[in-house]
Amino acid sequence: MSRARGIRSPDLAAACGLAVVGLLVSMASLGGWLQAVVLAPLVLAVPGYAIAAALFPPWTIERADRVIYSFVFSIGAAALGGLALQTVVDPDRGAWLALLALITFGASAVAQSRRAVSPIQHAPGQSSRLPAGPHWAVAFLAALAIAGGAIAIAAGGVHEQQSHRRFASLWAVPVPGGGGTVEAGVWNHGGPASYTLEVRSGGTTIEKLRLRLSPSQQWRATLGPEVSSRGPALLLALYHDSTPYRSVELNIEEP
Amino acid sequence: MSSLDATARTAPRTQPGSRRPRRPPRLSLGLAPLLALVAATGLLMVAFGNNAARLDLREAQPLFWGGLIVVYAPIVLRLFSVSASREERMALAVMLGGALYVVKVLYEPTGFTLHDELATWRQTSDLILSGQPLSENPIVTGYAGFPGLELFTAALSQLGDLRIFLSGTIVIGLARLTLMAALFLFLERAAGSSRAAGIGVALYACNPSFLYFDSQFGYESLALVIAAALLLATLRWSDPTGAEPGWNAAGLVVAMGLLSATLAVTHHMTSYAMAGFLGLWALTIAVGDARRSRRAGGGPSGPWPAVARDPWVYGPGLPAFLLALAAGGWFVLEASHVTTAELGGVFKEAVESIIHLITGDSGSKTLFQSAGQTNTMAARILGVASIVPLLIMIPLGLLRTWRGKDAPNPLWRALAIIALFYPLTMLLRFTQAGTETSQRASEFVFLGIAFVGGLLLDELPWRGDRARRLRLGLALTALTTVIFLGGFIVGESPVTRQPGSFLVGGETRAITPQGVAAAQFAAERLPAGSRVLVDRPNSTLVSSYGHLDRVSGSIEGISVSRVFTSERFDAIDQRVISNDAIDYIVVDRRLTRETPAGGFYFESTEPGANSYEEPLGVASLRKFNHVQGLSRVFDNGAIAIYDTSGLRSK
Repeated sequence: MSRARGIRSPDLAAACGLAVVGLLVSMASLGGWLQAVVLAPLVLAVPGYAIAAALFPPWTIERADRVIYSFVFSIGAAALGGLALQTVVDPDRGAWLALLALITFGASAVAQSRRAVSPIQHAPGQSSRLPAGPHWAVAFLAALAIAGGAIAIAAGGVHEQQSHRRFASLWAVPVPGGGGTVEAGVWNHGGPASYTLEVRSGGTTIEKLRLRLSPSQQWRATLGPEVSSRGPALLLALYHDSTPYRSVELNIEEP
Repeated sequence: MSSLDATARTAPRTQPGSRRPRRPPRLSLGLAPLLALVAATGLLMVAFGNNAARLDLREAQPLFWGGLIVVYAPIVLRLFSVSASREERMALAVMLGGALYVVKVLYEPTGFTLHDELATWRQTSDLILSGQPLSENPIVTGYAGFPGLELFTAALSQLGDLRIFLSGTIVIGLARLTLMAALFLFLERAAGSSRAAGIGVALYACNPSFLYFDSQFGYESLALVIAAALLLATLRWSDPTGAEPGWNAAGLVVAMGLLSATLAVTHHMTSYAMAGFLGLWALTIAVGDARRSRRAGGGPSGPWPAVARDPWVYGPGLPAFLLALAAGGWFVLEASHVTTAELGGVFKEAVESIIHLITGDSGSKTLFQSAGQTNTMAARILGVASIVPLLIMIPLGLLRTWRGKDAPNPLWRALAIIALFYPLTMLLRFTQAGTETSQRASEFVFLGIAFVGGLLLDELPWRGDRARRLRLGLALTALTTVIFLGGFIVGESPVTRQPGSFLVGGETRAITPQGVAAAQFAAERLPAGSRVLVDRPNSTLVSSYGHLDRVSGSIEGISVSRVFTSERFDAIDQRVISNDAIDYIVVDRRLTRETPAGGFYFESTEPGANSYEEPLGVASLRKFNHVQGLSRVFDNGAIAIYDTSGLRSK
């Protein structure tokens, strides 16, 4: 058995374990928060930790330095690795996963072999213990909760401000290669509202529709060439409470 | 040698056969948990203040400014204290950075609104959709050549299945926390005092870019933490006192190489500034060496005896070389075009305005005033009051690092020289174009200020009874808080310090749901990459969420903004649209309500920029309704989008 194999490195085992779990979770396509929670460390810290472990054997740097390098080398793994990756394949989820896992495994292997030859590997631990009692943790958690509450309050303020801006969008665009077919829509950005949509072409009203839209609801329709090609211009006018509200006008090219 | 190095290197010398090791000491966090609660309360005040500002309520400003003081001042008071432990100081430094980052998040917690953030969003989105990290960016040219942040964020978004907004917020938040820890360690090791480091970090937070600009989802925000990590590695590499020959040299060199390469592909300015600083540091060692050799041929002495080693190899010269090599190589291979396009323009304008200012060819810019935005008298006083103490501190710091106890220390001297740039950056603020350069320089210059400030204030006579020390601490906390608030005033326009109601040309204040709706329509219904004429705030929306490409500048000597400002649509407008291949025109009808708060409607070089006395004429925007060949394809009241295909085919 080689000396490298004889040295226990629970930290490196954990890093590689996280990469393996990431691979499994990604293959299972769990989605949602679980996937984010499991895979985020694989981007933000794990490859960097392994690289830092390879470059700085235990006890050669302070724990705070290791935390800093773990994050910054993770940036390097994604940035430099991603640049190299994109020359071969488009960096999609699978490619990222493979890249970051490979970096983690490779750097961990180097770290393990360096620990085997490093003269200072058996240094006793000098790290401090956590403070006594739960008070400090409770206070920090409470502070985090209050900060989270502040963000929620601010988000509520944004939504309240936006709720004061009630409006609707009217649009119409020719369908590419559609031979005069036009797609049109109304998007209600406020509270529940009723509209009347008038479609005119060649100076005559072709259609008049009553629309009742709930908040954020979109209405869409396709107008065929028989509607749009009656004149040189197609006009869609939206009325709100019988008053002109929005209008769009398309120049229809002769076929 | 710092206590940290001592911890790291004395550990191995412990005798393996010694008796049961003593239990490691407990971390002493002191008042940090309590101060975390106080800072969180300050964040609540800022949140309520911003909500009040959105509704134009009077309590908006007292709550906001009060919240900033509640976040900043108590932590700083504790950092001044002589009784706090090293762990507590480090925790406070990280907390301060984190809490101030949340202040930025509270500005708009539901999506990106800042110009550079939307540019980064576009670059990241393009990367995810096309797999190309180096595609052109229509909002900020430079992003096309420096994709470090976008690659990191895209990896998180794609693996974690997260929105780009959430991924970006997490990445920059972690970068901020890590930056504060790295800065603390660097300052601590440089000054040899955790107290000086804590005070230094508090002073660094006073830089005018710290609160918003350096917290935004932009490449510079991420580059700063990489640069700070490189500083830590360099300090270790250059520390002559501790290492036995060959001690982990390979690991350190590879680390510095990796950090240099990462920095080079992340941000141009930070790479160049760092390479310059490391070169300066090596130079101060070399000059000191040469002087010492000339005098008596004496051997190395003092606390930095390492000068016996070659600074260009075993000092900061090596990382300076590695970084210059990485940045230069990246510039030549990939980023020359975008870098010269972005930085060249900024520096050219700054230099030209200074020359014009000196020769009297153009009027200067009044401090704390730009275009239609004016600060209140109180804000002006606070702004000036924040500059004066720093101007006094810098020469004292220079004297201390050159002549004082423990001098000469080459790193100290290099940092003091960096601090000397502060007055120059303030001079730049007397010109319109120089303001941007000054703003961009502040995060680098403040590294020097943080060091000399931390060193000087740590060395003040803190003797006497507790009450006297408390009085001194309170006075210095008040002074530092003034510098912090004043720095924010200097760096941020009055209209964008807090959110609020719609404001023409008001950057984030001009980002509205109507603009977002138009951008969403563009993304769903218009061909991606279509060329579009649009005003500045809406350009960031349609070029990011809308995936269109904004057209700016001029063609055949005609500013493209003329299409908007001419009262009648004429042959020149037609020529601009046809020859510049404009596909769509986005018209924000609200532009006719008032003159632009930011000084311009479309771009800073448009005719009339920063000198508008009347808003854009209604006829200028209405004319598009009557142009034959233009199709109005979108209308939400505030914003209309016109398709020019019928016009161009004529």
